[in-house]
Amino acid sequence: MKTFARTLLFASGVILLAHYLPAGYWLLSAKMRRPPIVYYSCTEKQFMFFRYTNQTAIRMDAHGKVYEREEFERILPIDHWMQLLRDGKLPDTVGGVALTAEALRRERLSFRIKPTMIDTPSVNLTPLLDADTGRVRLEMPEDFMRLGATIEFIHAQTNVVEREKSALFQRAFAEAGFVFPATVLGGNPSTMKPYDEGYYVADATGATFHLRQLRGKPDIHRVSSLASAEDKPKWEALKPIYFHVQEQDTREVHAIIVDKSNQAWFAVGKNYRLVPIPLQHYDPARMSLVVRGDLINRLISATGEDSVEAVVLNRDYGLVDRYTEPLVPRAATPAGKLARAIFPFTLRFEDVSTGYLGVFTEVGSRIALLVNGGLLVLMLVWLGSRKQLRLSRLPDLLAVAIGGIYGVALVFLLPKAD
Amino acid sequence: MFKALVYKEWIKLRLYWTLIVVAHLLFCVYLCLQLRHAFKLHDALAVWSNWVSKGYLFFKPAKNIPLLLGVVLGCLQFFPEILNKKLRLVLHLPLVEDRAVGVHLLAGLFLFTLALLPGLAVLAVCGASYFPWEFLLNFWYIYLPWFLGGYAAYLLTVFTLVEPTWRLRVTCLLLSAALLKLFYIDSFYDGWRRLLPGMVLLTVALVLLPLLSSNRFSKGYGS
Amino acid sequence: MFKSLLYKEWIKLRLYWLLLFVVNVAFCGFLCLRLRHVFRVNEAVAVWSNWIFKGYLFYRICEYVPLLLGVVLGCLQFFPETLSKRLRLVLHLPLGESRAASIHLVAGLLMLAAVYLPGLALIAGISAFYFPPDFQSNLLLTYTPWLLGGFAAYLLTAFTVLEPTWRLRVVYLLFSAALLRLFFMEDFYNSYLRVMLSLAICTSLLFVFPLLSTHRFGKGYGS
Repeated sequence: MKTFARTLLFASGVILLAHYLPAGYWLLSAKMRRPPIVYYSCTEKQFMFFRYTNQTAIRMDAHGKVYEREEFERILPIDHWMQLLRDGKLPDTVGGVALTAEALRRERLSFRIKPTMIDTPSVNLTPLLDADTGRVRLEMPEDFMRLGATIEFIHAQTNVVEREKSALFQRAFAEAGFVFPATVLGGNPSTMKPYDEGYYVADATGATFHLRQLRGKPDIHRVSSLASAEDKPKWEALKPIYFHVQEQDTREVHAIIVDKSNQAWFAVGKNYRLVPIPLQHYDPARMSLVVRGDLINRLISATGEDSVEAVVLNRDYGLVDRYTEPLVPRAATPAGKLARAIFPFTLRFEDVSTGYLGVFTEVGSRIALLVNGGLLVLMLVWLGSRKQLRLSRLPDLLAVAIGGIYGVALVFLLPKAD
Repeated sequence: MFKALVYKEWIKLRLYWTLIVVAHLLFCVYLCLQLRHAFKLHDALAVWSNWVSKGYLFFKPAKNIPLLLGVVLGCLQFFPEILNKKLRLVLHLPLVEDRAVGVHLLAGLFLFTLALLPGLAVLAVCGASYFPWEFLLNFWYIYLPWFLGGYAAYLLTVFTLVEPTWRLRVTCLLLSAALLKLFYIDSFYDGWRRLLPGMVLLTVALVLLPLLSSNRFSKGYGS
Repeated sequence: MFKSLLYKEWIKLRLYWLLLFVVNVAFCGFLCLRLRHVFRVNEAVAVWSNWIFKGYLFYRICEYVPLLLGVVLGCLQFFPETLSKRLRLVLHLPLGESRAASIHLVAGLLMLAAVYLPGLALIAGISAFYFPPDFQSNLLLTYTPWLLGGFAAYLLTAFTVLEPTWRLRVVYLLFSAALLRLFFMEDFYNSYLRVMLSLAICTSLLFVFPLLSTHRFGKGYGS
């Protein structure tokens, strides 16, 4: 029993040190590392960047030329239209499109999708707003919708299921051909928005449905039957894992959909046109997706730890330009290389890819293996010189072999075998 | 006699006290490293505005430490005394009973203060190097109630432990919990500036409570 | 022998246990009253939204209570044994040394469970009035790491207190702090969903550590 206890003590010690020592190392040596912000100039037809280096920020273009702030703002008229308007420098038209303050304000699109939005703890209850109450402002309903194996509405104040409303919606779902249980649900449960798009739901077969509440009555349709003839097969083939709904003034983009094959799509327009976002290296679990749209273009950038990719689409969602740039990941910086050499493996319990806790391991470089081997040899020699090379010391040696410096620290801290 | 009693308490507590000082110091150093990390990773302006408008304080995790320390020190100092009824021995010394217990309390309070000061100095120096002088003022005003709460916790712990009957011990615990809550009202920051004189008076008044308990102990109640 | 050892521990601790039980239940009851107040003063939809989308949990204040109760019970149960070296008496009984220590630990764990579970049941029962059934699984998944942390804290306290040498006690204190922090890393709800099983296994494995300390105590290290 005591060998078991001692082995367990060493094992847990190695695990704890593998978590805390690297964390302490990065607490001491982390530096500010922000990825560049990508812009696209509709006048010059090239990408521009806002880069952070050593506590300062530099404005550059793709060739490395540095710009002063006023020149930068002149080249990006739509991103800085308010400042240019105030200075009287806003051009009247760009590419044949008139730049009026009202049009610029109305046509702004802005979305941000982070990995933690896709995989995060959630409760299966959400408020279904009434999109057509006849009032100017949106109001929160008095009940919450539970959409899982069935659809139910629960009145919040009394905590009771509303039988009639639930049955009404259940019938409507059945008529629309919805196969329970629902798998993916996405919407915007807030009243701070210009209108209510409702929710997008994927049923058990993966088909997408659009759900709204109009004057208390359900409004649910299979999207593929609402789409045009050329988009219908695309909707039927779509296997969504995440719906992102963020109502904007333009009312053009219904939702951004991320599917199983890591492809992101826009659902736009009256006919639910499904437009693929032509990013080549988008990994929804590790990269954040930012969409900035204006009167002329849509700029979509995917930023991860080791790369930035941006695509520009015109108002008709045709590809205009593309930019890719590899970034230096933390593991490739000098501090990161040192860390990978001395820590044979590190354990983290939180990760950028998810809101859940888990066990995330990173293995060190081959140098760490050599370091481990060297430490093991030293430990054998040291124990041998003290005539303590016994079988009961096996946990110590294993800890040094697997854990390197973690094991060495533990051999000196923990009780010796008797 | 006074010196001998203080020395006796020091010998009893020195190991624990050293541990506590080192642990507190290391914790404060850790908080400073976190602040340094925050300044390296973000704009200095962002961190300052977090402090000014959102009330973010890098030393907030240290809030409950004086309280815990007061309770722990009180327990460590007086638990052995009451377990073996050793307090009786002290009360038989040729010293006025109140004075003997008072000396014990003084020793405890003195050790408590000494234990917290190194860590506090580290926090103050670190804060002063990253923030303007308004921050240091802020720091003292915010930490003072917690510090006084620590003293109060120590005195109330002794009060509860030395009380001989169980029934009244429960009352003491409830009273202590209620009183201590007053020191930890969660306000933005500086919110209790006007209450500070009252808090100081309350803490000083609390010295009387352990003396009351030891009085009852020596009278032989509950044993 | 098994029953009489359990009974001995119960007699030693029953008063303290009663206090801890009452404190836990009273505290949980107070939280339920506050919940009732929140629902009377705010709209139910707003409270539900705050819970679902912002992760605001009315029982979050309970987060460290199981931990504290576990540490307190561990100290109350094992400090007297080590102070007067009474553990030697137990180890001289005609029982396997591990078995004697295990029975002590089982007694403590049972008492802890009897303190934690009524409070949790009270919270679960009252919240069923105000929240839909989804809340119960939420509550269970969020509260379980804290409960496991409480049991772990008890076992690690026993581990540290029973260890005879001071050097290792300090090491074990650091070890315990490092390990216990892993139980309290979430600030939303349900974050531990995927690691709950590993956490539970880890907590149950901690049972062997106090046995190691007892073994070293019996061998006469450090005294």
